[in-house]
Amino acid sequence: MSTATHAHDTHGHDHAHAHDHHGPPAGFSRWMYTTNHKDIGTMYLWFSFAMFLMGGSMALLIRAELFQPGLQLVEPQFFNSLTTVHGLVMVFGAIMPAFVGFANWLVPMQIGAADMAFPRMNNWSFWLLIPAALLLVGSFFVPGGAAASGWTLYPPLIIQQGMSIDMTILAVHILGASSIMGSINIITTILNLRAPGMTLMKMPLFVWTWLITAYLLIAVMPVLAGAVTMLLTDRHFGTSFFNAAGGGDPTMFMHIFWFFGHPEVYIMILPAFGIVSQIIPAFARKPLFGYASMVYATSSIAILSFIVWGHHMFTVGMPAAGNLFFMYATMLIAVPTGVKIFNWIATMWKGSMTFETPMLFAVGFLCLFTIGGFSGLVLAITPVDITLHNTYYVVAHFHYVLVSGALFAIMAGIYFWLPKWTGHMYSEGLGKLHFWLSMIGFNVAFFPQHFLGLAGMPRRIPDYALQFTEWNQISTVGAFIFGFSQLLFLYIVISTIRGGAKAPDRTWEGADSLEWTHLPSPVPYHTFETAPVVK
Amino acid sequence: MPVKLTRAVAAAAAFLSAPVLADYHVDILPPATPIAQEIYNLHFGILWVCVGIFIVVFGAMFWSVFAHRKSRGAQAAQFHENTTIEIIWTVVPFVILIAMAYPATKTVLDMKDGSNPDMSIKVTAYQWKWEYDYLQDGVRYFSSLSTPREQIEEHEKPGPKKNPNYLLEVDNPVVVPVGKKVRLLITSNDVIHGWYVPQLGVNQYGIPGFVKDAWFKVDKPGRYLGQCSQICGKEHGYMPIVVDAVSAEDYAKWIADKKAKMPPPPAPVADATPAAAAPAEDPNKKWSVDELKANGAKVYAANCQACHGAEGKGTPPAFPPLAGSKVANGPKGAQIDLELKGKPGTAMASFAQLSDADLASVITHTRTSWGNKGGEVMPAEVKSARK
Amino acid sequence: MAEPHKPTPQQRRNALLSAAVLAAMVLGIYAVFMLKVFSA
Repeated sequence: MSTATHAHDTHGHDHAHAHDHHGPPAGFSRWMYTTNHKDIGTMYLWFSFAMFLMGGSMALLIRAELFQPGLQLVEPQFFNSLTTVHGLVMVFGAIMPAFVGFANWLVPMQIGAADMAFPRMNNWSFWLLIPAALLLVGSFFVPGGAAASGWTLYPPLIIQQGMSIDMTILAVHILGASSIMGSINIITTILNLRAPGMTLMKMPLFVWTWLITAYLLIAVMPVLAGAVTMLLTDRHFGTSFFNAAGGGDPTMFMHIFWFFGHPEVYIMILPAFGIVSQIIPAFARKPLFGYASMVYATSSIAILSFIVWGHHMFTVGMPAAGNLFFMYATMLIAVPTGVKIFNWIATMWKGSMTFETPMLFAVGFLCLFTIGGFSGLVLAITPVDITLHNTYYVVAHFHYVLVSGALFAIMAGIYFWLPKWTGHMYSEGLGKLHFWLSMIGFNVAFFPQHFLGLAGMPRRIPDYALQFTEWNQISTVGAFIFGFSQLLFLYIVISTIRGGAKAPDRTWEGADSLEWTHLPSPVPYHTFETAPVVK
Repeated sequence: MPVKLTRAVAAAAAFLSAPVLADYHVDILPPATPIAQEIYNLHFGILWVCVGIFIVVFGAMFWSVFAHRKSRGAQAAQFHENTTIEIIWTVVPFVILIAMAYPATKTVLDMKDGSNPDMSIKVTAYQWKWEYDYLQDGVRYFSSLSTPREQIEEHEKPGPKKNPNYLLEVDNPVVVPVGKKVRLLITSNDVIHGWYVPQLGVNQYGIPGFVKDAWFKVDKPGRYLGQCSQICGKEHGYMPIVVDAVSAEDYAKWIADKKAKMPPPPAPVADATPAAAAPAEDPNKKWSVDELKANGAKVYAANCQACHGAEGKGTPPAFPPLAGSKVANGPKGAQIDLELKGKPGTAMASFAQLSDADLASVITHTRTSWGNKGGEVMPAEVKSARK
Repeated sequence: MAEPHKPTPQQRRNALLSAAVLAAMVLGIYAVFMLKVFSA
């Protein structure tokens, strides 16, 4: 897709050691004050992994409590806090920062820019995450416990709680500010700092998906900020936006929240599509089947995401016309999503494939994300949704799209680019073991939840009726396999950073974006100070 | 925590080896209403369409994974972009979606058609119980979980054997006649709840300040179980719904029986059936303070403990502690008033449905326990406060 | 840290312009949204 020539290869292999001269300062101040997109990307990824382990521990505590009926480990209120904070931490702390980390590392290198457009704002975007995370997790330790209303923060339930809610609201504001600054930076970089000859339609798909994602963030983050501001004034300043007794309407919060919330879902999946669209052609050794149609499909999904929020609210009691509109709009999303799936498979067709760990995760993504897509189609059908709303079927559905979708793509991307970033090959054997453990653990944990939902088990309950026992036990076993196999991932990443076989500059023979064709492995601290020329 | 964990693991091991009720259910529960049947058919159809597509699409992918691998000497073709095939794979899914949307639309319209109901029940959700008000038949009562607390709490030691319908059993089920169109008017007194009975095809939020409707018509007699579907606080998992569908005669009998047991607010009715209504207490009985305290502890466990805690500590700020509270140590009249009217804008609902004696007992209990020095309240004081 | 890269003046101007437009979008969405609900 992008063939490029070395215009001024200031950082050839022979000069790889030269970066020591203008390399980073050592120690804490390197990370505190850095404006380097690679350092910031690294920090985003480590932050995300720390939050992933934290949110994962909460999930395991939830699954441990649900191993059998009755209350054995936790109190119901604490259980609700766990489900709530698990959701918030995973969405805002693990998945989103991981993709921003990828964007920081890859966007400048893939478009041939030296760095992001606003390096100092980039530093600030990252460091804002830390106080937000502390507020979020610290809220467990204030009187009344952490937010316990589900990650959707619906009033009036959320109004009943104590200061942990104010901490959560503040955290959401900070995270929103961080995302907005990050998005402005990414859009500006992509639109203005492309190397000569790198036209929009020559950009790698990862860059395209992030461009669209950043626009989604800019459109919906202010809406979320507005919604939580209204919660705050309802709590402390006597307004009644969501209080019926004062003329407000709790349903309005749901509309506003999901107007943010549905695009948010695509914010978490579009960059995953981008990563997978880089990996599958590389390992099929064959260009992506339909580059242009992938770009159009991604844009269509983004636009449709603004008119489907009502499908989260079919049980609110909207008029029939509302239910029908949101049902049709939601079903329509299956078309561009299908186009993407078909494109990936057509890319694999008649390729010359090998299955190293990144490709395994990408194929795993393809199969399992599609299962999540199908259960999404089932849930789009209003009457079926009504009988499955707020049951474990929904839990299974969104874990199929967010864990085996977004998270598997993140794993695939880490294995794919780790040799480029560190200059070392990871252990292929351990990587494959990690994949199979994750694959098996994940499916054992979440497939049975479809059955629980169909049988009517509500979500967010700490205790359940006896007929749900068997599938819950199987699910818990799977969750622990999945959870603990991520420690193997941590080990693999650390040992790759510390040593290992030397990775070739073009680690994967089918990979053709600028970071593979123009830069050595490991990439020097500063790259493309003079822009390459893309033909 | 480690001690608890080992205990849980041990309990789990015992549990797994016991001959438990093996129930690997994999489908939507058997439908009991025409709407639930339509939902069942929709799900069944769409599921198999999806399975079919999955097999075709991923059959192709796995064939490719098997055949087009480098280790088998596959050479990469370099084709890409083909307008014909791209149009096909856009249009075909679109057509399949239209085929799915058509029957779904019909069901959406059927579900929304609550016209000409045979009877209406107003359902009010509270943290954490349901109130049912039969608008035509004049019966009104609360329904809450009847599973004993000791079967639930297993933090210290495994509880006694759980009831077969553990967590899906209530003190007062909803009773409806079969073959009648029942309209539900659903609302809430505090936070959002969800009235969800899967086999009836009903799942509707109860939203404070708004009344939403839903309807069902049960075909065959039976007991249908459900739960609150929207997280509503601490006891969200403990507010089940039990619907008994009975014949028209049994329904009439149940209504008459229920009316006889209703608490007396419209005074003359209660006099008509004096001692017949089983162990209902004698309104003229003289209560000693000890009797009040003993009865009060029971009433407290059934109605108040979920929020205010067994030790009266509550979970502030939503559920204030009673130990040392101003109300329980202040003037009696204010507390009686609070119990009868509730506190608007909070989870504290009115408990006027309790009898004078039960209210007096529970007030006495709260005013004389946990170091509180409010003093006892007699049933007569509650009675006079009702006027 | 050593030598920060130097985008061309043209790129710098365009970048600031893009950022200003995007920031205006964010503030605009927030303001319109809040004004709408506060006046409702």
